Amino acid sequence: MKNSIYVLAFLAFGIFSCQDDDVTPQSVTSVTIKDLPGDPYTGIDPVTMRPTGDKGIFTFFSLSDSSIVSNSDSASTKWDIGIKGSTIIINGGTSGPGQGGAIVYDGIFSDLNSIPDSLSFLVDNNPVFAVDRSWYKYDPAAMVFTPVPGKILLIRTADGKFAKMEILSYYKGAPANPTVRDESRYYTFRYIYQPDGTRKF
Amino acid sequence: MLRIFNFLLIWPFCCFLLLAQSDSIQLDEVMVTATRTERLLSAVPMPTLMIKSQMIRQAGSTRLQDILGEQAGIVVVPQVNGLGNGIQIQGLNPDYTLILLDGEPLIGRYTGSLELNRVGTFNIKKIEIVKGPSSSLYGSEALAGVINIITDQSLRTNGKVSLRYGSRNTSDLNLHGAWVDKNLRLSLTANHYSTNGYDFSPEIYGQTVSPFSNFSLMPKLFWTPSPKHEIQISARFFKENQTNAYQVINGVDSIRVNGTGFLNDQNLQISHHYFIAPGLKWTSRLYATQYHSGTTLNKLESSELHYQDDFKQQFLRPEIQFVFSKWKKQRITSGTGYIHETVNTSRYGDANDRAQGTYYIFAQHEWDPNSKWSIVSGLRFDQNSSYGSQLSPKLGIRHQCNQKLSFKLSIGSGFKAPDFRQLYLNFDNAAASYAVFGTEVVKEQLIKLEEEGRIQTYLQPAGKMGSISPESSFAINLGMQYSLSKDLSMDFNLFQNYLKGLIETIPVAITTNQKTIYSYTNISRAITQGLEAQFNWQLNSSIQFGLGYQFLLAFDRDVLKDVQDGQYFGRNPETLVTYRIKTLDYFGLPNRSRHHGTFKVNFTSRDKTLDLSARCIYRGKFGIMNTAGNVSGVLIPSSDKNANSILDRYDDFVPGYFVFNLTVSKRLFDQWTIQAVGENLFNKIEPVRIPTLIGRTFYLQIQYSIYKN
Repeated sequence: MKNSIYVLAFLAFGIFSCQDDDVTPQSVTSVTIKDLPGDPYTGIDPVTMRPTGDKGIFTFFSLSDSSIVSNSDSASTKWDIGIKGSTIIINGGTSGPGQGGAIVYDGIFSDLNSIPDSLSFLVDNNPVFAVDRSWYKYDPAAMVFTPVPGKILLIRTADGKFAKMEILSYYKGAPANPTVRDESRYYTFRYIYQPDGTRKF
Repeated sequence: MLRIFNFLLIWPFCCFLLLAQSDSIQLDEVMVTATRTERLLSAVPMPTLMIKSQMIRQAGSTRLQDILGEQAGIVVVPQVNGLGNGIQIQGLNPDYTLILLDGEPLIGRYTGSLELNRVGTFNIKKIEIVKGPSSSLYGSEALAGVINIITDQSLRTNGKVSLRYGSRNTSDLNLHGAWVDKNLRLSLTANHYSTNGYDFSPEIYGQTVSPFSNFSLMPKLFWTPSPKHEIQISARFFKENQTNAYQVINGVDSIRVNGTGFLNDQNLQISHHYFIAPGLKWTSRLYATQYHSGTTLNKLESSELHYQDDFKQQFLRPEIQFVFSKWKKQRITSGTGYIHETVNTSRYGDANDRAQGTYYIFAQHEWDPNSKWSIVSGLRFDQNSSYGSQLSPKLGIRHQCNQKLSFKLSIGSGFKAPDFRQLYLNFDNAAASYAVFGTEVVKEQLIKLEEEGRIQTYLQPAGKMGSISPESSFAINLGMQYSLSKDLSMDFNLFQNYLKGLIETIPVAITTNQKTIYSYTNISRAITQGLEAQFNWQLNSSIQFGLGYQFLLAFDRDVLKDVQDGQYFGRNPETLVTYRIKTLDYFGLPNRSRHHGTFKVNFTSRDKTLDLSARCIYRGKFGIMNTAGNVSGVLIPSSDKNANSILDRYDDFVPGYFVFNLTVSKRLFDQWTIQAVGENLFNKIEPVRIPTLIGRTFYLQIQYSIYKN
């Protein structure tokens, strides 16, 4: 399957410099990734009507490089997050050798300037994952997944850096009104990765 | 003077009924539904509505939902699955209103609401409506209110035939005959109704509402073997056949299916009143009813079976009731009974009967210490084999300040038992990405899956699964009636309903092949509150105006709290920008309109041979959520446009709308009546979001009556 990833990047405003003189965080970039496949389906079984073609493998992604990491590197710290269907794993705990952890936080992505020190990160412990199911809502009648607005994934990356992330769509092309006929398991999300090791964005 | 007159009327009810029947004297009405005893409507300390046969006749409504929907504070709402309508009172869903036919409950609720078209309006004498919980008398389901449809008890020999024909090849034939002797009254009512249905989406195979026809027969016997004994036997047989053709959404494709459906419903009521002594009355009743419906759908292309469904419900209730009214100004009513209910349906995975039994006992005290005060208190205890016990108290107080002004206060609690679906549903279709199990089956199903090694994760603690209790409410109604003059009256009622333990589906586990398993639990809390107002103005002997209005706020209390705490967000589907929902942005529960109004004008000519009735109904904007209405191949789109699963001001609401109805009746040569009815004159339709809102309809009716004087 052909995957196309478009990376849109732009410089965030230096909103922190004026209020905090002690530590000037490295200027950060908001990145939007469109249609990152998370083990999508390729067809439908005509008898059982169940979707088919999923391979049961994660797509690994590096937040610092904004790129897909090969599945052969799954045991490395090259990747930070992995997606498969609605499951999101973080490189740490039972999922990988990294220092990764995460927590789902309620708020507005652009308003969150720093990760509160009081927050402690969770680590994957299969089948319980740091990113729990609260980030999406599933409507069994319409058979549609919807990322819940205001759910921010606060992530500690494989090498102990911090990032904030918001998932915007679960369907290819981020349709405004997704239905069961849209291709699912394609993530559109935005994130800010802070490379300097601080919790500020 | 008037008070004494009224007071004298409280006791000899039989005489009173006879007088009221003759229409010659304008007297206060009697209501039986509010207290299970005959009580003057003006002395009932609860919010009530009474629809008299004259109003039904003038409006020319043949469908029960039409006449109900023209009343203040009664909203006809489409069901969430787009199938049929239901009645919403005080913002509570249709399954929270108990519907009685001659005092006995109708059964056979399809996804919650009763198909009201099963009941014709031809032989209705009156409809009594009590708002607010009445579980203290009626038990389960009487949370929002009770609608009691009282059929005609002919007091003289007569016969009536009416034939109606109108739009969409709809025909309605009614026959009624009554034979009255000194001690015996017999009557028979028959009805045949058929319609071609209608189609809002001709490009899609099948109609929005498929053609159907039904037939009903209602024999009645009333026998007074001695002045101390009254025996009443009535039965009802109803049969409906549907011809179905649909385009159904199946996975990601849609397929065309057709087939037939049926609905049979029978009931039998036997009652015996024994007037032991003055002020002492004993009533024994037996009520048995059965509802049976089925659908078979075959794939059009291959003739293979696509879907088959069979649902059979039975209800049996013996009951005794005792009324003690020997003391002046007081009346005590007490009763006890047992309900045996069974369901047998293909939806529960096997052909076994699911049964439950309920024992109950109730008592009520009516006290009218003087002409200014009325106090009614009641209590009922229900003991059910599946969900345990329930205690329902109620208190109503009425105070007449002066001739013009009176107040009513009623406080009570109501409950609704978990329905059979919530207890026994066993839905596990390979094609669906989810399974739903009722609380009585979820544990064994999970154990089975666990043994097969198919459970990946449990999502709820083990203790939370498989237990369920009734939904319950606590409500306050505060009313004021003010009669400016004999011809102009106003009626206001403030209401508040606190509902808790509302049953919803919750995900309980995920299987290894990513199937989510759902069950039911008591989870959410809601509040509905508002104001009902009604004005009636008799301009002169010919012209009458009526205006009704309801303001309603209905919220999920947990959502409201989270919104207040800033925990709800919305996302613009185009720009994908997220924002916070403010308290005032939250609109509330789906399918509720904040504003609902009715306006009526009735004109009767001086010689009473010409009637003109114009009605206008307004329903304010409302939202739709979580719909599965794909029966006609069209998905009803959710109002939620910002992905937060609640209704807020950024969402896409169904706009408010007006419906206008007009009826003209003319009586000729005493015995003939010709009636022309135009419903929804301006053809307001909302094909996708309100498929049950029928377009412009015309009828012509001819009725012939004979009397023996």
